[in-house]
Amino acid sequence: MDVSINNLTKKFGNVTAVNNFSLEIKSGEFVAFLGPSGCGKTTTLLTVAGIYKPNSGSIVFGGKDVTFAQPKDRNIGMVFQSYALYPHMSVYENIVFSMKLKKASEEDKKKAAQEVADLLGIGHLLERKPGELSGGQQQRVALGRALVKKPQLLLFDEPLSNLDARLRISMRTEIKRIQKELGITCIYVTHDQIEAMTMADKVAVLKDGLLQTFQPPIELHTHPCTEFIGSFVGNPPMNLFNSKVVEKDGDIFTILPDKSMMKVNKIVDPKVYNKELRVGIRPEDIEIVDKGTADSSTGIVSLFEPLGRDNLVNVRCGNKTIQLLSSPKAGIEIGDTINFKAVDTQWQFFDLESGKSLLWHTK
Amino acid sequence: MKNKKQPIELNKIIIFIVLLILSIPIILGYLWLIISTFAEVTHGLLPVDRNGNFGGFTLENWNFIFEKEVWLATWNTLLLALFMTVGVVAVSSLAGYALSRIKFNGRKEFLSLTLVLHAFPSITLLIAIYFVLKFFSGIPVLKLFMGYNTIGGVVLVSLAMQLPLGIWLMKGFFDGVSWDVERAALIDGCSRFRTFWNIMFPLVRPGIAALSIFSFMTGWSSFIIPYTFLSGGAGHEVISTYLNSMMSSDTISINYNLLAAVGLFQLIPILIFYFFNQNYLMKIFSGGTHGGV
Amino acid sequence: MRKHKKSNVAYYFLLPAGILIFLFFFLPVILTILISFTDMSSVTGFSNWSIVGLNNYFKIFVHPDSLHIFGQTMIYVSCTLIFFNVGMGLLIALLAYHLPKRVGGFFRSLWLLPRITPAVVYVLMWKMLAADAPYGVLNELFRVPFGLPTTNLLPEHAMLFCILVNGYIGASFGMIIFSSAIESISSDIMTSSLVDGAGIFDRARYIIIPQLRWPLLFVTTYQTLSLLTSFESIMVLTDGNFGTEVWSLWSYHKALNNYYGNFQYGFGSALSGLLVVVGIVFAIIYLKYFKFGELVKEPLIDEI
Ligand SMILES: Nc1ncnc2c1ncn2[C@@H]1O[C@H](COP(=O)(O)OP(=O)(O)OP(=O)(O)O)[C@@H](O)[C@H]1O
Ligand SMILES: [Mg+2]
Repeated sequence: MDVSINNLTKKFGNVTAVNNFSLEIKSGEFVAFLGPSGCGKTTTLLTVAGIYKPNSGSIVFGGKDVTFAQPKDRNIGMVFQSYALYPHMSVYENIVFSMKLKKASEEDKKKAAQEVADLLGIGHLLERKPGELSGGQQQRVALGRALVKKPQLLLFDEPLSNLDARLRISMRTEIKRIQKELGITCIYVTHDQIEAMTMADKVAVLKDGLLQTFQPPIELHTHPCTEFIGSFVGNPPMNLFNSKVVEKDGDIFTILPDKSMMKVNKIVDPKVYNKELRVGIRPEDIEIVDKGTADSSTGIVSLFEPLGRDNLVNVRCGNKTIQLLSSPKAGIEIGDTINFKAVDTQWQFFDLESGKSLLWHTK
Repeated sequence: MKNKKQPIELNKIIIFIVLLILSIPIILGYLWLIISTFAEVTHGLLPVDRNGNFGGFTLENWNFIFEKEVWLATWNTLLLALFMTVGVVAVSSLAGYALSRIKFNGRKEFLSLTLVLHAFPSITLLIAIYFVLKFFSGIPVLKLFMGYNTIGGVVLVSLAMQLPLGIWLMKGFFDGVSWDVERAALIDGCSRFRTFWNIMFPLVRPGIAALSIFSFMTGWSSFIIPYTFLSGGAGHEVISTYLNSMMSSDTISINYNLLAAVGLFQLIPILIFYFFNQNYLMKIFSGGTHGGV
Repeated sequence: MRKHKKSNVAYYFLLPAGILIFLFFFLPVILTILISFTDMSSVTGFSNWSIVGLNNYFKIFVHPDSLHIFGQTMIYVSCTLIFFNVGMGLLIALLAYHLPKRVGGFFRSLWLLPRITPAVVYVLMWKMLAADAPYGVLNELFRVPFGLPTTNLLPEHAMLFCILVNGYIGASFGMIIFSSAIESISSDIMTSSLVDGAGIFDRARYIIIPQLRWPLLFVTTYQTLSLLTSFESIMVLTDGNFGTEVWSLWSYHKALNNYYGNFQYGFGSALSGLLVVVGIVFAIIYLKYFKFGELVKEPLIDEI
């Protein structure tokens, strides 16, 4: 089912939790809402669910305006961070509660419950009360309860954030698998960017109630359309500093904090040449080179942090610190002077005022 | 503070004794009641026989339980307590739910009203309530259920007086239920009433238990409302008024040991409830009650 | 854009409570005031009465009993409040706090007994405590053994007994409130103050009581109102005899219950009308003190 959210605004008193939010979700798509705490993800989701009524804007499900429809008339399923199982009902009763409300026969209920139980591997838990389940099991039951209605839209509000790291990873794949299997349209709220990047077909990034971008995850990483996204997505975060783009002999370069120049292999709007702008480069796109060359830069290692597979290296470069990744084999230590160089296709440039990418609109 | 230094232990013993002395009237009162119940006569706390010699243990004070009058009064008391409890719980949880959970125009006003009524001394309204009940008495059919001098009328008045506390208490319990659970229910297909009945009501069981016990005890003990709105005489008495009329009768000489037995008879269910539900009740009492100061 | 239709499901939930509150709170408040402007009584009946304006209030003003009943009410309220509802409540809470948990709990439970005991039974106990020898418990235990003359203590010390009877009920309210307030004081402060060399009296005086400012204020205002208006135990104990008629009981006697069968509804209503006004004023003050911001927290589900 296609979902379209048009100019949605939701205020609580004088707090604008969602601000003129528009989004088109195609049938079967898995969309993640990503953003820092308090940016309005839950509010948007609950408005889509019909729990909140928007102050303005509309919500359309498959061509039908449901802005003011009751939650029960929307045929949606929702999974909450707190699981929100009915504590006084058994797992089985929890799962078939929505069917009971529709006065389904005992047989139908049994069959449906069996189906979801098989899908989620919770068949042996049906007689228990939610209080007797682990967090992971509760989350499966909550998912089962949402799925049993055969909803046309499935909503998740940080469903995995109360689980331990290992379980989170396995549930991630499982939710993704089930979603693809059933082909349900999904909105998945999270503030964990790895979750968003690995699970979603498209990611909507929110900040202060405003939609920042709506892109496939990989583009989010390689083509951030604002400085906020550039800095918010990716770990360790993107290096950002004020600088300029200059043209020399037909090539273009950017100037690093230590005044060295590095080549840029990207199309930048010539209008911004020689103007102050914001330059970004991801730590993983900077490589250490043995010998200083014309387009490399030099700095002293000020901090050094093993991350496991890589080491995070802070290098003093002019009056700024640049972060880069190095292989543990490189044998770098604090105080070393190293030469480094950026991958020339990976530069990002943002407008100083608006934060908008200066690459984006040329693409 | 829990160290074993000598002076503190001594302090504790002194404190214990002071508390015991302060509690003397309560202890003596209860002792008298219990001892007298099983004695022919009581001199102070001493059970004695008719001639004033120690002894005189007897169960004859309890003979009253073979009298129809007592059972009529007990029946009325039970009706009053039960109907009042059911009414208070039903009306308070409906209203408490709405006040805690639903947005509507006038919510703030209704909430402040409940709070004001909670503090308001409803006992001052007895005269006017008498007129309200008299008015019901003038309406055919209705007068049988809720008029002056009917148990129904007394139930209604007692119920209403309990509402500010009940609504307040239930609202507090509903406030404590997770919003996500209720949202899940609404998404699962419940109407607001369904949510209330199938999800929320079972989840505030502790509140319902507390309020039920409290209401039952209040109804079972109540005196001033039945005394004012029941004219007395056969079939129009509750245990409290029955006991009171025995206590203040001028004609027959009063048998205090019989009074003690009837008193204990009324007290026993209360004590049982109290014994098993002290923690619940402490909470309610601190929420403020009316009547007995 | 289509407008959201407001649901009025809340009003169905509130309907029963609303009706009862209207019938037994609103209407009576208005009726009390209205009747107080009439001369309605069992003489006039419900049909022959007339409006007399503020006459009943003037009557109160010049009534020979007004002054001493007012005085008795003040004595009763202030003594019960100071010595029991606040004083004794605080004392029991403080003392019980210093005992081992179970012993303290026992005393707290004991002190709640008067509150849960049916009023008539409770007053019966007090009557027998006060009665003359050989029945009266106090006389038998504390006077007879010393050869002192005995007498029924109730008529002689009627007001004292009214205060005791109500006080022993009332103390438990303050006791519970103060106990939980004391328990919520950080145990660090409690312990360190003792380590600093303060005795438990100093600690009570300088650490605990200053922290109980709000509970004290709450108990005082709340219980003043209760004491001013409730008369149940006094009625059962003395029925207002021996100089114990208090204002609320006076009103009750005048309008609903007296030996002469002359029920002066108008005059009685004027008497309680004054209490109603006091009640409303107190209730509003009480509302102000309460954390109102907390209770108007908006529901987290929109109108459905
Ligand atoms: N019921 C409410 N009343 C007032 N303000 C609210 C309410 N609910 C949310 N807000 C505010 O709206 C903004 C968005 O809240 P929301 O819960 O949607 O954030 P979120 O993105 O889900 O955050 P998180 O990741 O912490 O769950 C926040 O500033 C929050 O304080
Ligand atoms: Mg959230």
